[in-house]
Amino acid sequence: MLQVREIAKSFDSMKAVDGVDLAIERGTITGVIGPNGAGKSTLFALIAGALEPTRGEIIFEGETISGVSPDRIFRKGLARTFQIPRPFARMSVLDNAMLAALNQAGERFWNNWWNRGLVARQEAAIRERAIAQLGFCGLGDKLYEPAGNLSGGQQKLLELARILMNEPKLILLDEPAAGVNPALMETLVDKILTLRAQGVTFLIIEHDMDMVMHICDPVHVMAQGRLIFSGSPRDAQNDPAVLDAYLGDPPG
Amino acid sequence: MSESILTARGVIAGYVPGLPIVHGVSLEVAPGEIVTIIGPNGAGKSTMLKALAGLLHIDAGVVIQEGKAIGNFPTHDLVAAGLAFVPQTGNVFASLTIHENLVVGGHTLRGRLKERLSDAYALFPDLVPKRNDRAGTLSGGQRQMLAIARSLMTAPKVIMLDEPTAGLAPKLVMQVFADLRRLAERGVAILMVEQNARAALRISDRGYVLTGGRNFAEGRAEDLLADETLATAFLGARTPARKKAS
Repeated sequence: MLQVREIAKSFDSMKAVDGVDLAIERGTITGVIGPNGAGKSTLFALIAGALEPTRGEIIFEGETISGVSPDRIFRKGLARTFQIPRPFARMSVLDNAMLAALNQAGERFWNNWWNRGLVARQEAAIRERAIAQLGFCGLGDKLYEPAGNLSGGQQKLLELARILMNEPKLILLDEPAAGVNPALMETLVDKILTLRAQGVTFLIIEHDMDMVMHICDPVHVMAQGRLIFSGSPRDAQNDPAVLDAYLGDPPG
Repeated sequence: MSESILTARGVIAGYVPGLPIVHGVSLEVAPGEIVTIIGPNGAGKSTMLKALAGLLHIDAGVVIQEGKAIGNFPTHDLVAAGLAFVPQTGNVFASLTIHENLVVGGHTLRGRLKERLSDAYALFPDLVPKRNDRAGTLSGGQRQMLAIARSLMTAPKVIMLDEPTAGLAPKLVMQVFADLRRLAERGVAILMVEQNARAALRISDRGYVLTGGRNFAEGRAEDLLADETLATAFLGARTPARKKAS
């Protein structure tokens, strides 16, 4: 579903991502792990279009998306979340979710004069969908709270609800478990598994090894901008090169 | 190990009240000893260090230095008590010269400034020719050297360092570690957090492994280097649990 070919990104002389090949199969939950500074988040930014690669190509559903703007990539059904969510803090949770819907008739100036019925009908439909997605993400009782009042974990769930408004086919999650309490973690894992059962594919950067072992297969390990391992999470645990990447300095 | 100079018992601390990152960590360090805290991302290593350095509030637990409870002391009292902290980033004043940085580091001294300055330059002779350069012009390794030298201006008994080798080339990593070893030989207790787990343990006397804000393992550095503990701490248990444990 997604092919990353020889992708590289340098910042001045620093090679953040240094020639990575990756293929994401439809219906998988693929994990990307690796020590700090391995280039994982840069890889995500390249796939989502937030950064332009220095070289290489990214193909999503048969179309080249490297160099395409992030909003166009999002429209194609590839959505990402961020390590630190930034909702519109003063807007309600519901408004945050509603404004994520694409192609709203009310965005067109004249519709608000000549097509008020259409705008209102569509807004009502979007509202219903937003309420449904927020309910799915466990935020049904927070609809009218300012988003800034949510805990870090709840903001991650709001982020998920927002991208679900556009029924993405591939979701990139950047450290979904970071700073999330155990109870919310269960909710989040549960949502990921439910969505996967509905046919959504996931690519996840995660440091929480329990979560990776529990839901990700396959796992790709990055270190210093390169892919050093691809395989099952269990094999990753037993791979000496992976351990060396985490602990530095091989023994001897 | 001789008697510890700094002891922490059951420290609970975090950035937001009621949301602890460190869930009851205990550790100790003795004069002349290098102790390294290692662990995967989010283990609470830096948070623990910042709590000990008085930068974060300690919700529960005790911190004892030389028989005196010092937990939650204001930072200047901790400095007066002989503690120094070298943060990971922003640890020098970039617009001040090397010399000015050292003078600022010793601004609490009365009268002994000259003596401490010559001591700092004696320990880090590489800084002498650069004394009138701005700290912002230093390379990563030199900046780290200056940060450590600055922390020495108050003649601390305990130095705490947050990832002193982060972002340094391998040669400079060994240089920083060698400098720390020399300080330890002078009797200073050194407590540091490191990502570069194996290299740090090789020059340490003992180590603590934290995971999920708790003590996971501790022991002599060579023992930690030799066994499976580190692999389990960083990559998880080999037989994964069905449900998340924490």
